[in-house]
Amino acid sequence: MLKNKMVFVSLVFILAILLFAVFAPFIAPYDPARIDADSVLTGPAPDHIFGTDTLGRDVFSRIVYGSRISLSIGFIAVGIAVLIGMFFGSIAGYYGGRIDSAIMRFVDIMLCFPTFFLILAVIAFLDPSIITIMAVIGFTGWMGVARLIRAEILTLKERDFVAVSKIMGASDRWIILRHLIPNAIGPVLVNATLGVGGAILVESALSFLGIGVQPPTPSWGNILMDGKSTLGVAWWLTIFPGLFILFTVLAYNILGAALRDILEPRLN
Amino acid sequence: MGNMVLEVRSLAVRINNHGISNKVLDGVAFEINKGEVFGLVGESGSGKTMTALSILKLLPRSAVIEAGDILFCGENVLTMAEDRLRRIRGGSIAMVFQEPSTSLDPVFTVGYQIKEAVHAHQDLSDMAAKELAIEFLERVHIPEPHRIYQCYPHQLSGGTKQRIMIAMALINKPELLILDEPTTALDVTIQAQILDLLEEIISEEKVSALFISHDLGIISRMCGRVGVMYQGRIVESGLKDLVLAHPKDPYTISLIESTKALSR
Amino acid sequence: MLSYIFKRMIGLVPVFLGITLISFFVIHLAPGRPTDIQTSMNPKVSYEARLRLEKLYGLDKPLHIQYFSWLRRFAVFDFGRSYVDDRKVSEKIAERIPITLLINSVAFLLILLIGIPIGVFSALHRNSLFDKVATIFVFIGFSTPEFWLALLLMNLFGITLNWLPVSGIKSLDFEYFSAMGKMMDVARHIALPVFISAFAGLAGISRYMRSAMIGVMHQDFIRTARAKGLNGSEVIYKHAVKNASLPIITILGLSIPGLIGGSVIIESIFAIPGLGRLFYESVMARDYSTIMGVLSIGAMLTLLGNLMADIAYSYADPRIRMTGGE
Repeated sequence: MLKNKMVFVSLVFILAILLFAVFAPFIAPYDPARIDADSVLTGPAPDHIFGTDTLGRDVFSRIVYGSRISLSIGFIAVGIAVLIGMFFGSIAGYYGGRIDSAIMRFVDIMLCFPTFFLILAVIAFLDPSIITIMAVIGFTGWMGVARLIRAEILTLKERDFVAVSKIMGASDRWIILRHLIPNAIGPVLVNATLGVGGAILVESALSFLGIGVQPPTPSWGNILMDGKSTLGVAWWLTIFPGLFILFTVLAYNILGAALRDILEPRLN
Repeated sequence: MGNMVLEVRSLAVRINNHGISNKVLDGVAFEINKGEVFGLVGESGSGKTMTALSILKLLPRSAVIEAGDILFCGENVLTMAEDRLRRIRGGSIAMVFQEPSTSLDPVFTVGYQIKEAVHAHQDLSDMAAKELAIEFLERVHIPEPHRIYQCYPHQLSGGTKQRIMIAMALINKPELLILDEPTTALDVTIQAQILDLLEEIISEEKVSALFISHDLGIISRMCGRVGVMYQGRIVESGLKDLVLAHPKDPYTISLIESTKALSR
Repeated sequence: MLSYIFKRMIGLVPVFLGITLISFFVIHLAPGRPTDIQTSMNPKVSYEARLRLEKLYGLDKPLHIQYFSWLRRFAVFDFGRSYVDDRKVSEKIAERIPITLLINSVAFLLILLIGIPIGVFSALHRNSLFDKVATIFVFIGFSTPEFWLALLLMNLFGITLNWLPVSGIKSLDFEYFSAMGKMMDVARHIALPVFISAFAGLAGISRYMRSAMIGVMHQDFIRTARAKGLNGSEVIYKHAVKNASLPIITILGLSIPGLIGGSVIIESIFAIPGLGRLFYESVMARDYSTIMGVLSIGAMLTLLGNLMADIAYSYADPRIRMTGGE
């Protein structure tokens, strides 16, 4: 089936990018920071398969190293978001009542801020660094997970196995961590997978605007910053990094959709 | 032959769901004569509802009619043209479903939905259609019909909604009424009222009916002839009194026994 | 319905307060005093400017007094003066909002008018070629970086084909155009920004509409409609689409923050003098008062958008609009 083929291709691609990130020093033909004044803005050629940028740096090497940034920011930001979301969501769902209302109100408030605005504002105040970016994307992206966990726990907590645990004297924390969350993990996994794609898009946008990963550290987004200023002249600076972002995010989205099909009930 | 309103012959239906194939109807056959109430009784999963849906070709996408004929007044429903079928649906054959709470569209008033049924089959002005609708609301003993006409389904009780479904089914004077577990989803006290209403309507309108239920008591009350369904087949059929007094099929026997056991 | 709206508006008050709290929190994020960071990074800032910043945020006063004066000023949209040109922040925001609202409203309409029919059609013709193509388009829509799409289209339509302008909202000789000509000029300038803004939202809505339609088609009342003898289009367009559209209203409401946030990128790339670009410029210049002003206004706009979506939903769904009965 076509769908299964697409999922397979996505998995392969994700693996490939992962390998790029882990084995970057072995895969990249050049040092990504190596400036070569003689080869400024050359197009794709056998010695520079993706061409060079305004400082003569090899674009392919920068893209390979850039995968480290994109993936690490993607994973860690999502990790932070999931942890925060699980925390708030499980407390809201489990304890209900006023705690639930207060937390959900907090979620509503956070959702009122255009995420990008909030991220930009925070980075403006704190100055961009990779850690800041990871933290901010995580701190502004947990709301979806919170709602999911809350919904799952609300349905699960009425079930018998929870009552049995309580009778056996299990503490609230135990019940939440050992019983409720593992059962609720399905939708969260889907959300997290899609979230990695989202985080990569945000990071590259920030870097493109100059407020994300700062040069000379290569990020797919900041290579595109170069691309903007050389529009029409050096198409390779725009096309290649963009395609990498597109395909990586696409792969995670396809994977996420496939997970959703597997983990959630289907309609005829 | 001229006396049969409905004749079902060797109906076979299969359901295909994600690679799993299930034969839900395996050679179902029965007839309904003009003016009689035929009961179809069996447990859930026996194929009663599938049979009913087949008559109007309202089966879900995953279902395939593999074999059989369904003759309505001599015409084969399964082979007729789409717009002939549409004129029969709600016009000559009308159906009342089991769940009144989900059978009505929540975003339209009940009055509008009854009017829709009228406009689909009768050439009346909007005013006339509305008046007809209200007349039938009165017919099914709904108090304050003018007010209820403007209500939305969520504002009404289950009993009232089911009366509305019945009104909607009768409004185009059908020859055959299909009632699929019409009281199963209702409270016990309301069940009795609706059964009274159905009895009254069927005798007054002299309409033929297919009455489906898992409840032998209700079937016994409402029907003249019965068919017992089990695993997609009719295992026994005949006059109600005969079947109940002298059951031949082992399933029928166990059905009667368990009913007696419950009412002891 | 009025009581529902009233209740919702009351419910918005704590959300409003929460917005002020969170933005207040953001101001105080900077380690040490915001004044130190700002002035030490920007040697051009004079002593008076530093004093002004302290006075504006009352940074030397205790926290709760700071918050209340912030709250008071927020309520009248007094965000102080910009560090870049000393104009009132509220003025700068006011003159930029109309453009951003224009672009986002048109994008929103596009999403509605194109996304919904695509979704309905896909649902009705499941697994057809159209559906498959639409699905591919949806996935690509979700995965494409907006700024990259902007660069590509800018290159294609603006430079290579030279069909559309790629900068600003008016041509140089704008003043000499007729009224019609002026409208056409603005339209040509915002064509690309609107399309790119709408791209991801379009993908989303068509996908959600498709699922909603498929879900609704399985409902009992659709079977009743068929059993009544209604023809196909009546069943679909009257009953199915109307019911499927209800959750879509909520989703449309949720897409508003995305549109507003996206304006930062779009306006910067296309040099459009809107709210997003103002925000970008103030972030680059570390113009804190303007940053806070735009952030707060952005949140309020979202709040307003959600309220409108809520009102629309409560009007459309009779279960919420009407109470009582038997």
